[in-house]
Amino acid sequence: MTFLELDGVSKSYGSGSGRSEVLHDINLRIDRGEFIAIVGFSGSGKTTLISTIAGLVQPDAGQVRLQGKPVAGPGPERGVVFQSYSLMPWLTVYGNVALAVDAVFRNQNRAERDELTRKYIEMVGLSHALERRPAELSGGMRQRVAVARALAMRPEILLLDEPLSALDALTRAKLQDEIVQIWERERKTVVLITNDVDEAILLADRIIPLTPGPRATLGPEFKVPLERPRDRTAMNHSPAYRGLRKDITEYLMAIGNTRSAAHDETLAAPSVVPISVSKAPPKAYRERADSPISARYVEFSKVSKVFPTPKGPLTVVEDFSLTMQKGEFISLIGHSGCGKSTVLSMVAGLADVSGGGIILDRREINSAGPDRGVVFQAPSLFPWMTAAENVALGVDRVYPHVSRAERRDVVAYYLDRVGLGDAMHKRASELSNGMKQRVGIARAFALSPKLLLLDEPFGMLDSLTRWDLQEVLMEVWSRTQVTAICVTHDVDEAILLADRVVMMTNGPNARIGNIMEVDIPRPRTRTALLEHPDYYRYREALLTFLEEYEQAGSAGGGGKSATGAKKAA
Amino acid sequence: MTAQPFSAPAGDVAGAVAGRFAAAPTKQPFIRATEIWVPTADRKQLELGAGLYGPLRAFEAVSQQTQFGYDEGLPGKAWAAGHPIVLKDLTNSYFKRGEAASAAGLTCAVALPIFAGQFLIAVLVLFCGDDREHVGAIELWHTPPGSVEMGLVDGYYGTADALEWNSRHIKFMHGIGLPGRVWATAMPVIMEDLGRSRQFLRWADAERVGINHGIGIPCGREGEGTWVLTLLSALGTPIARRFESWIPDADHGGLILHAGYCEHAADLASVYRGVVVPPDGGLLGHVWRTGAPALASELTSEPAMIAASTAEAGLTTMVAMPVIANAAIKAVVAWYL
Repeated sequence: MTFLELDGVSKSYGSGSGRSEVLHDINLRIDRGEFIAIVGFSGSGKTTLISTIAGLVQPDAGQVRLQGKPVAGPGPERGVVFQSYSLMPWLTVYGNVALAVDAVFRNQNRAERDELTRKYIEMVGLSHALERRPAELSGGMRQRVAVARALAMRPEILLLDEPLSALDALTRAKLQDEIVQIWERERKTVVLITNDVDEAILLADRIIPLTPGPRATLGPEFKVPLERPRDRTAMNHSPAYRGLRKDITEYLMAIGNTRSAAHDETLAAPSVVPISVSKAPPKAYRERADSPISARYVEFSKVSKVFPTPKGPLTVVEDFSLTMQKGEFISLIGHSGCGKSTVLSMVAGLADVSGGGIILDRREINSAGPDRGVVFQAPSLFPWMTAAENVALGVDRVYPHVSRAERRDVVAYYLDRVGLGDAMHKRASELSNGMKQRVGIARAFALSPKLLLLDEPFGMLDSLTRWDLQEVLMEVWSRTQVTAICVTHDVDEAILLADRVVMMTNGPNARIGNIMEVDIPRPRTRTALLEHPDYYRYREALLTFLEEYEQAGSAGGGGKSATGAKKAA
Repeated sequence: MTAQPFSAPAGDVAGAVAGRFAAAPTKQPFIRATEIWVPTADRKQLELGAGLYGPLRAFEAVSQQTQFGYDEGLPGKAWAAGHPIVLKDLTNSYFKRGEAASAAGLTCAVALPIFAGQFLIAVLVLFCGDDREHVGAIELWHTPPGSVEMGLVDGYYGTADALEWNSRHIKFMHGIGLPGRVWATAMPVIMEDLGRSRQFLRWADAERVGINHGIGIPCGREGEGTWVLTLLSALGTPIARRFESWIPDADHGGLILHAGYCEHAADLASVYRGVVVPPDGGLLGHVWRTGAPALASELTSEPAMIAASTAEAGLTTMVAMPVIANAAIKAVVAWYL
């Protein structure tokens, strides 16, 4: 018997000419005990959909039925976990979970409610943190409290609205494993909203895409034919996994392309040459820097970074040695806290080098400068300035010798290349996160830097926006061939972008573990990557490395890794 | 604990070297023939000093009748190049014994020249074949002078395709992984249980194909960057069932065990605790004394402890080679089947 039904559900917001239909004709049938993943774009109405099922939002048309009965409002049989944890900051872990238990099971006595509260806190592995308040918990722990709170209501169905999107890759993997374990133990029906295709394949029985809004509706469903338990590294060998991943990704990219901003192919790159703000170093310095390393465009030589701490000096990065050729694109990958961003900050000149040295184009780096374009995770634009004005700030500084019109051409060219040709005069405050990051990319490229530095540039964006921007980045990069380093923890991003992937060991005392060469021809596209015969080999090599250091982290860090624990067992 | 010297060996090394008509080991070995080529008296040619051929009698006969000049044939090329060479085309290349190798089913050869400074001591040649049957790997890694990465030059992997792919795409840093550790220490490194070893970064592939122990050996002429030869052995088609690294110990005037792995003995370090191999102590002593590689197809005449231990483990053949730096023996490496 169908457990949950959505029949022709539509939902609009606003009125008159401002009325926007968010959901359109949503039809869905879910059986009891099924695990369903709905994947979709940011702003496509995923949260409206989950809120409609939860009874927090009433549809304008159609009906939601749970076990044959229409849903008229929220109910304890539907547990919801949102991306933001929504915990009461003044209550402890116990207090937050007990709040829900006391409300739902008010007819039970105090001992029974206490037992229930403790049971679900234990299930998410937080028994040791009963008395801690949310401010004393990590993001992953807070999300576990939210999961425990939802489970403790003993709901018939668990509605998970991007519960893991804000977490780092390691914590995310661990919570994914926990969610599956809980689902298998409790046999709840689960609807998971996610923008991560791999997460959906790992967890779900069926995957259903939600098309981009407005008028978002459900696309064709994809059944996941993989046996459980599923291992995220071992899955790489499964043709079924590869085929499914390719099909879903291509479907999402195809519908995503319909919303991508078009750019003007006829606009040509301005033929102006930037100058460096600093004067060239003295002859003696150049001769000293030349020697055998002159052919190496970027060289890190035994670079280390030591931070003072109350317990004494802490060596975060140690003996980091690497050489790069001009025009090379390197991805720097490793777990959170391994010092990737520290390395990037040092080469950007934003942090001092404690030991060793970094040479860029025969000059030692000792301060920040416009010869290095940096794109951070947060685009950091001036909100009162337009996109063009934000980009022009740097352009005016590095091209002082050309006319204002030519400088404007540089700004227009790069904003157009990142798909913002029509939005360049919008204020930054009016742009979406994805658009802001496009401005950030345009700004960095427009400086014509000797070295482009990207620090998790797409980390805050959903997968689908991330794919878009990766393609944008590659398109612009292919025209400039600028030497680049991109810090990421996304293995697919690392492979897609790089000529070489540099893998860092865990900190403290982090260093380069090994380096993988990516021999996939350029220009690359995500579709071509998915079809490349060696793609999954590259992927597995990186995942294996990360898993190895995940285990190392858990061995030293008190059980950080679910997969590590599984292997050790 | 006080180290105890071995008693003098029961037989002379010459006997062991002469005993080159070895019987085939019971398990199908990954290396199907091993040869030692040494300079002739006038040092113009290389001639066969010793060999382990198992049942490959015809190939052995051809080898015995062959000599190589400088830069001629595989041993001569390795002599000229100053570093190991992996040759995977034995029929349409400079390899001189192509027809015989083809008839013997040999498809790949690795030549390892051993130098004292600029002077060639010998060339060790390892042959592999039966590609569809064999799992294991012989790899050659190199880092040019001044480089910070060590990359694969070439390798032979039998059926271990995934490991081969991985090795061809991965560069190791100083001190990381098996090649990186050999590079950092300039000493032989033995690793066991590779499928589980965190320090062997290609553990997942090793685990999948059953490769479980290996050795990395520093090699090549001095001043031409760092070269590392790795032998990765699987239980089913072993390169060796035991690896040992012995180092000179000035205090005791002999070789002491530095590291070792044996499929049969749980802990070689305790088996050989306190044991010192003197310069006249069997094949190991011979290698230390002469700086030249040597092999034996019969181990009963080895010093008592080694003879007893190898007999107990069922080992019947042995190859030993020196690791030379600054004209001195840093270590003697031995592998047994």
